[in-house]
Amino acid sequence: MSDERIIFRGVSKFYGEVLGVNRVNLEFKPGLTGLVGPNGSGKSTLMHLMTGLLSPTKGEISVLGIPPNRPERLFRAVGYCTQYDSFPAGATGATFLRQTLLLHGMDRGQADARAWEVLEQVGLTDAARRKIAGYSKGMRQRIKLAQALCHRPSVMVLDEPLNGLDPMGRAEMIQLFREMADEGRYVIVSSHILHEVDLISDAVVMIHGGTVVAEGGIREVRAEIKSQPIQVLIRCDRPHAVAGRLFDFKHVVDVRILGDGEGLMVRTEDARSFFADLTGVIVESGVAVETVMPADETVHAVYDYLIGQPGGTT
Amino acid sequence: MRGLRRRQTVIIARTEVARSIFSRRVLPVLLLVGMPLSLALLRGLFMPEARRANIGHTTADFAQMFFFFYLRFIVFFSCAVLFVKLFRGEILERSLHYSLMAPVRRRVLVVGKYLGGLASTWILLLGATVVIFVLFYVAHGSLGLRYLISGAGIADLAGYLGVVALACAAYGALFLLAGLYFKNPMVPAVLFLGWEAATPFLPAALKALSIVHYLGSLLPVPPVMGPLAMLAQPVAPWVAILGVLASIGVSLALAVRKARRLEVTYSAD
Amino acid sequence: MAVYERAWRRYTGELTPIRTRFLVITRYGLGEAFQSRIFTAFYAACFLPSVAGLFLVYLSHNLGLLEQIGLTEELMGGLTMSFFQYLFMWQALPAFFVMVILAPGLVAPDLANNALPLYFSRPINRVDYVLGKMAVLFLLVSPPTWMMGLAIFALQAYEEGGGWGTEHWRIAAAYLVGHLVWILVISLLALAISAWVRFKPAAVGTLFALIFVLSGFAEAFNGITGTPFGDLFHLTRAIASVVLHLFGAPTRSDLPVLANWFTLGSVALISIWLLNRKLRPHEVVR
Repeated sequence: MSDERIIFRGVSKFYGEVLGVNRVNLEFKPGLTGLVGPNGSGKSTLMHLMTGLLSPTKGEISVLGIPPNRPERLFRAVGYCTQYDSFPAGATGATFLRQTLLLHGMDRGQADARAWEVLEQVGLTDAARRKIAGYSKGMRQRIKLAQALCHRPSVMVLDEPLNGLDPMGRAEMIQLFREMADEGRYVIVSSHILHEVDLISDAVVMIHGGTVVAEGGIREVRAEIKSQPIQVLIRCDRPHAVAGRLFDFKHVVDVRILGDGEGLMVRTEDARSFFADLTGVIVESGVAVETVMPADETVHAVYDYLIGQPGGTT
Repeated sequence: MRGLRRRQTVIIARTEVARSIFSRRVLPVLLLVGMPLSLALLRGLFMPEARRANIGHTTADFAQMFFFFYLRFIVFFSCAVLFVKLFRGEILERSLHYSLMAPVRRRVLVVGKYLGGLASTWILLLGATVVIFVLFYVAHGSLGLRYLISGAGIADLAGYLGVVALACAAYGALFLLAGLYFKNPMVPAVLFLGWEAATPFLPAALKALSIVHYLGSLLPVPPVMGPLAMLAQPVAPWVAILGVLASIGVSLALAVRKARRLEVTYSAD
Repeated sequence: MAVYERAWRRYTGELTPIRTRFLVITRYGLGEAFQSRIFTAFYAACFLPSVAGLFLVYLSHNLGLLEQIGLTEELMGGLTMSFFQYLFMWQALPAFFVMVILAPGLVAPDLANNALPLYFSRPINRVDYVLGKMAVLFLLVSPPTWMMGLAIFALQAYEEGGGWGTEHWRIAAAYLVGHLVWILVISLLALAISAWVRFKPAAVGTLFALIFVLSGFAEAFNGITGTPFGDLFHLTRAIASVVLHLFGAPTRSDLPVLANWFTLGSVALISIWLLNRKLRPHEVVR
């Protein structure tokens, strides 16, 4: 397997008779990949498989050329922020990070310096000497993130990393993930907060019932879904005039005037033809157009089409 | 790379020592060790004057107490409390994944935790053995003190310390393994206690599967076994030491094998 | 935001009575107990001593059958007090194992998984919680112990006739009181240890250690001091002495039976104190 990719090849995982994931074939690229799916779809299972915390029943996994059953090599390159909200008994924030860094081979001085650097990055310097068991939910989430990124890994696997964070914290972490992705690192984030995944992801992997239902950039994924006509939002001064003309085109399935009377939502089976025809309509009718944009090239919409269950909004 | 593995082993061991000794985990062991300590104190307080002039009784009493109470119960359960928690405790606490997410070979993890548990039990139990031994003889006043600093006293104490050290190593490896394999490792531990109690009645081949059989052969002062003396069949010291080392080796090898296949599922345990 | 429809109505149906609300906890505890097949088989085996006892009672009153299997009435010797004492011990021993194996699974996981805030945010209190968990042990351990014991006593009284039952009322009293005291003390101790230690395996180990190691300590104490005061720490000897006293037989301890009651009472009170300390809806970590 190639050295610079994260690859799943025919991976299945069964917990006894219960299916975790089934015949997953995936290749993650550098950048920020959102892993979305409903509860119990297999997101955490995929992450555990990628990090060696679970062994696949079938198939092969390679993370930058390293098999996940070699933790001594894997965790030099990988940082994993799990979903588990539990910590070693009696650990303080500082000792928790220091222990991790010492095991990475740093000496005491380096480990302490780096630990404080990361604690500052996640905003926990004041609480560093307190026991983690006494932290709030948001603080525990931050220390988990700190543990995942303290050794500067090339691959960050983050299972619902924004859980429990306040809006400021979420914004800061999102910016951090974006910066890491822009550096060329692999950042894999699982979430049900679809609008956030939309905002930050370069690519999306959608998983449902243990099976990958879509992967790639959200636009490409949306374009593949032929069964659902594309929705386009047009805001203009004379929506009725535009609507009347649009009905002449065969590829237009549906036109709806918006409630505020200042726009229309069009559903079309052929996006390319639609945009070409729309230009002519606008020029001929002399309508003043404010906005033309695809309305369902979002993770939320694609999630709805492919998985059919409501995604999260908080 | 070897230097890093050694350092990682030391770091893991040190962490376990801190968790075992400087936390609530040590309380059951202190309670256990407190029992023979208080017995030794009481013995000194209640000893009839006539007996104070005769060290021989004390040597025999200590041998009895050591083999039938201290080794079989105190050392056994202390090791069970500390070693079972090394892995099973983390699984129940749902923090095992942090150990598995370190860039550490599973073998190094097992050895590091084992050495940490061993260091903890040695600190607690060897220290307690010395104190109990001294308390037993101090009751005899200057006679006892002379014995303690004499060659015979030091040799006896060294012998008992060696047996306790081996017992911690052997039981520790076994309980570490039990913690990896069983959701409730104390049940097989108690069953093993029963097995060890039945050792005198077992045939020689099955006696070889009992740790206390080997430890009994290494005691500096053999205890009075009464009617069981005929069935005891002690072995040569070198056989006993090999037997104990073999049990440690097998237990640790199986533990490493299990640790390599550990998965993090945290189902209801 | 205006509320247009006030459609929500409070539940006005029947409520579980406050006094029996703790049985909801018991119901779920009992369900969990029989999830393990090994435990179910072991529990079934706990009835074997009682079944053997019933058979022996029947056998001792059926000469024809005795002759058929080659035993005469003289050989059987009739059923003596010793028979009932041994039967008590054989019933109590597996019951002890049932309680020690089951009790940690009732409380320790609730503490380890931080479930107590969920329990105590319902209309039950800590007493209900402990009663509910204890009721699981009581309901499981009672049938193979005092219930079967009383059934065997009743069968024997019926077969003997002639006021045997009234004459030997102490046997029934010993069974009832002895087993109930044993169940109460061990279940309180087991629940308290589980709450203190929090982890099921450690709780099981601590319970066994307490029983075995304390017994050894008590023996050594007696031997060293030449006094019987070590029996104050000997839990099994304490209950054995109390039961033998109830049977009207000589006790095994040189201590007066009040001292044995004191041991049992102390264990129960210390357990209640531990439970009071550990069962809190919220834990403050400093």
